[in-house]
Amino acid sequence: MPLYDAMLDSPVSHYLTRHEQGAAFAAIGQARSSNQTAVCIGTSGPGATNLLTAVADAKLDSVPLLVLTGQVPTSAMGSDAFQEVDVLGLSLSITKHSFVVERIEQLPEILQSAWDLTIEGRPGPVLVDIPKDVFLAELNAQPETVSKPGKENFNSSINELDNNNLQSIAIANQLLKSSQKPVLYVGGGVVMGHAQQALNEFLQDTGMPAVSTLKGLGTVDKDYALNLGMLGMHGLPPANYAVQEADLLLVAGARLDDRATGKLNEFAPNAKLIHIDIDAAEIGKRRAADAAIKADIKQVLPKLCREIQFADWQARCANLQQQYQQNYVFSPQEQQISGPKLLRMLSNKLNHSDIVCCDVGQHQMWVAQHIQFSSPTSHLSSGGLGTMGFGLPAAIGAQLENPQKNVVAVCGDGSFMMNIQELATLNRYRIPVKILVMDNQRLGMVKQWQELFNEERYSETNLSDNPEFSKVAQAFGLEADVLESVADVEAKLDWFLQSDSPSLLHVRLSSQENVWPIVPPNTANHNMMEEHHAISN
Amino acid sequence: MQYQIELQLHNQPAVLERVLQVVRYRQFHLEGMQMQPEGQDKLTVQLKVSGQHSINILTSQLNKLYDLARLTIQHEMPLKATA
Ligand SMILES: Cc1ncc(C[n+]2csc(CCOP(=O)(O)OP(=O)(O)O)c2C)c(N)n1
Ligand SMILES: [Mg+2]
Repeated sequence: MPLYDAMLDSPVSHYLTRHEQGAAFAAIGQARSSNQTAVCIGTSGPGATNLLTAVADAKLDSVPLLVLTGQVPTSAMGSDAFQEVDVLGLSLSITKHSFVVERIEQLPEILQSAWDLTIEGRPGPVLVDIPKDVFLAELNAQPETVSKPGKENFNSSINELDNNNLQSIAIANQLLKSSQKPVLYVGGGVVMGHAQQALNEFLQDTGMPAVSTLKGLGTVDKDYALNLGMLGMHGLPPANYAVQEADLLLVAGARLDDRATGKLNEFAPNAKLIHIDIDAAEIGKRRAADAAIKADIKQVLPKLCREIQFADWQARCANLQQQYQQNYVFSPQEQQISGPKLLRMLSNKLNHSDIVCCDVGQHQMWVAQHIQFSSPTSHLSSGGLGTMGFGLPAAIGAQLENPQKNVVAVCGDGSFMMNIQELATLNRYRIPVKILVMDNQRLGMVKQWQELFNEERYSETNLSDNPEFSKVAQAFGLEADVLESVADVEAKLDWFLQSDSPSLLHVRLSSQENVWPIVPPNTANHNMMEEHHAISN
Repeated sequence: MQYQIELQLHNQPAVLERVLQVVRYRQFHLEGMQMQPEGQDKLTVQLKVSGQHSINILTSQLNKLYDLARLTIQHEMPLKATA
């Protein structure tokens, strides 16, 4: 109450969502599309717990998010009061840090520290729990300076490269010089560390083949000849083969997560590893590094050696690219709309800085495989936590932050229902997000696993009783249409993209189509299954 | 291996929970613990932990705790074989 009362007379722009999870994901959309901190607020008890899924999402995807939660008055804390929940306790493992404000005098400094911390070093969510009496109090006395721990062995390398890092860079340069088959492995940390340009300069100078993680997509110039694309479970064959054959991996701002590496002890079996990350805890966590550079990537890249030669390897990678080139254009005889082809066409129609948000599942992997991005800030996808329901609210935040761009939410029929209430938010503020519901009437990714790895025993993945999404959207005040034939794809996509109102296009897809290739669980990345299940190469 | 580590902490709400949570989540076992508050806001904690992974997995995560000022590994010894 007191905070919202103050809002009436304040210059802060506030957007009311219909579920706190929607608010936190919208803030994530704002933060990820701008590379800056965004704020969300929830009331005590259920309001706070509703935020937490998205806070965990922000933790796993390193999103700078400031989360403010209301709390019962300090005098009632610990008494199981109405709508009291131990938010601080709940926050411990899903935030970078969390604060509880005990007195109004602490508030200014805690808020400043929390804000700064979201973006310092590796970004992440920070939560501040504020009891009601603190909100009601007047700040008469001097604000207190809250004593901070003097850190001794933390982040010493943020502003300049220390000796350890300089030594590691020297080792890295030796490894680079002696490598015959190097691969640059690009993670989300590169753009978060404002090093996209430095990275592309390094690539131009060296001609090194580059692969990207889900969160790194869009970092490497799309016209760069040896941009091999995404690696991992649903990666492209050239990327996975190149990594498996490499003799050196230069890992930049990535954490070698299991969806990217596949079976760890068969991952890049012949490669030495140079690992650059601002978070020292990521280095050596899943695989030991031969050169460990715990530093700001932007400062490291210019110091890496560029006089390196590997012409045969470049030819091999170019060859892989050619070999696995595929055509994703609709042919006139086709009856069913194919998800990948639809997204290819959408991609061709978007401007290069337009933003695509997605949910989680098969359609998410098709977005990663088939939409061309010019920066990870225009590809908002829940990577680490893989949270269904991410797409629509993230698109709301992204559109508010980027009013001049097209923002498209590519939603799964299962995922869309998880935050469908935010259609009301689109309508309330007339936010012109475009929603593409990829309706395969299935929890498709789970169905795919049941089909391939569980003897086609389909359990609880059939959603053929979905509502008529276009009517639902119209009831919320959106413009909406249904797309069910290949002949209409082009016209309906154009209608949708040109609309300046919030709009929804409900696409009916086959329930059979799967994501290819797929690396089965616990399998090395070179053992990709292709559509007809033959293991290639 | 078993390790003894000493932490200088800022004595703030939930600081011990944070330390213990990291130990558990990173798959180390707590074998012993001692703590001495110092003045208003300092806390020294000695932990004895054991685990299969390299101790760096644990210490690098503990080092990220906002309320941690200093961490030192004091001893490192092989685990006694259990009968
Ligand atoms: C909140 C949440 N619950 C469950 C899951 C597990 N899960 C992953 S993908 C998926 C199916 C998603 O279905 P849909 O949104 O229709 O996408 P599709 O795979 O069909 O494209 C499920 C249930 C999840 N990732 N997130
Ligand atoms: Mg689906």
